[in-house]
Amino acid sequence: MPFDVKNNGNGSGHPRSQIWAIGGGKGGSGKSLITSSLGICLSRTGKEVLLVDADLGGANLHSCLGTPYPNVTLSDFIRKKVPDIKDVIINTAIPNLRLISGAEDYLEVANTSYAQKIRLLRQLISLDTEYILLDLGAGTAFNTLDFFLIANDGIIIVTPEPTSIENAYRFIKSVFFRRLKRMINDARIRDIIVNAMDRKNELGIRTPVELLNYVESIDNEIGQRFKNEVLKLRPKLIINSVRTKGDINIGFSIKSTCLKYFGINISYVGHVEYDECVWQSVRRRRPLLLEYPNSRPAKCIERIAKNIIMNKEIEEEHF
Amino acid sequence: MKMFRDQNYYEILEIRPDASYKEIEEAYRRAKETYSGESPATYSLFTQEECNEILEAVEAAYRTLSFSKSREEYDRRLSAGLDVRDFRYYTDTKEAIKPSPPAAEQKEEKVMPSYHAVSKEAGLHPPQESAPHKDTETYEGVEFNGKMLKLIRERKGMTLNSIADKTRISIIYLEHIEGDKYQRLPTEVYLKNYLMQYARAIGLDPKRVMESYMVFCKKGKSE
Repeated sequence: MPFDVKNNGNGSGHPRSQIWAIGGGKGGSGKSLITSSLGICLSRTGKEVLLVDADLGGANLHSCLGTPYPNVTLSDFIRKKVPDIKDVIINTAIPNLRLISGAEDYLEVANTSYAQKIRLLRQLISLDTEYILLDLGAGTAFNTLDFFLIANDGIIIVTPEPTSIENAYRFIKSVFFRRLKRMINDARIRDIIVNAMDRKNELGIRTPVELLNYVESIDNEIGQRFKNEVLKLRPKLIINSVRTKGDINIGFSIKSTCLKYFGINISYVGHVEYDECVWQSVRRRRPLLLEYPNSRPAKCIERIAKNIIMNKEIEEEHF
Repeated sequence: MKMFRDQNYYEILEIRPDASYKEIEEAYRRAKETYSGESPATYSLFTQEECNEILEAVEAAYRTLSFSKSREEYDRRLSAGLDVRDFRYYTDTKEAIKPSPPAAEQKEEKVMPSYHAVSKEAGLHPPQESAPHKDTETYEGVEFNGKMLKLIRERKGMTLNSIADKTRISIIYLEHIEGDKYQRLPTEVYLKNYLMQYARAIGLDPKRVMESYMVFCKKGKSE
């Protein structure tokens, strides 16, 4: 598969490895299953792939891959029990696919300091691997948001249910504000941002797009910088467990709503059809793509992997 | 980056300025689906009032961009940097987009363009005399090329998609028929059939339309 190293996701990342961060806010939306499946798709093309279970406190990526319970995990590195990130990498049964497990990691590990996080990211980036896939936890903790923002491609998994969509929006909103807040030190603008995060703010700012315009009216230079940063944010969207055409269309509606509300142009890279074979493979602790390689969900994920690499959306496929 | 209230009609529909008619229809359908209040994708970010506001803008955008004259005027103002907020050119042809009254009470001049005006716009000879109003218009003396057919359809407030739905003819072929793209049309036997179906769908005499169009088509192909 052709591969383009250019920045096509979050406007960040490192040229040596392509980092994909898979998040979405809500637990149970299928992040681990899709991360492991995307990893398998990439490894089959001959690329070296490393999966990192960054769902600290709730890791289960090893189960989706059917690997034995790991002896070394990410927390061994974070707690400095081992000096090198390479010491916590384990091989899987799938060629070219390796894993850093998060099993045995507890919530206190999830509360890593900024320095620990930087150490982790630096070492990850220095690894000789072509793809690093980060399986993020649910919620909007700073760690999760920062891992999402550091990636070349941030991928959001949503199921076609109101609760999942609500959480995804909360996640996007948190990413949006995190990005802006980390950009500036100007206390006045920071106050405006914090104020605007409250929907019933005194300034009457209703949407993030309104916030950007408001900041621009106060300080043109900062406003422009903000807008440029937001334009770089192009998270990818996957709708999981679709049952109807209407479910697929929800992806287009989310894309439109995000553009009008956040000013963020989300890239709708595909959907995964609901099928009984998914939970059957999870129950057997066998990767979906190995257990049911010809199933519709497996084919959907293969197409999604291709779209992400090619930087395409499903609209362009004349779905 | 603009608030939706400040977006132009292309931005409202999230389409490129060179979007085809089909793309406009598709964008409109999706926007209606998204902001009509039924979609789980909107309620947690936009209030019902805001959704209604977006829908209103979507309607205005669709109506303006669906009619070629209206779109041309809108594009002209947009490229000239003129204020296009509240542009409502399509209201000039509001009689065309109103649902037609029952045939018995129909007053021709309200739902139909004058034959003379239509012929002039299509660059054709004006008819010798007006035809009486019937279920299917004969347009006596009028020559039917694609431009003329498009004008008549638009004046009747019919979208190309509705014709495609009704006739089951591919919208691509319908666009080629209206665009007088003779080289891209199907073989004669299919084309004649398509023309007759199209004519029926917009209330014209099928045989006359077909015969008239085929003259243009043969001439166009030989040039």
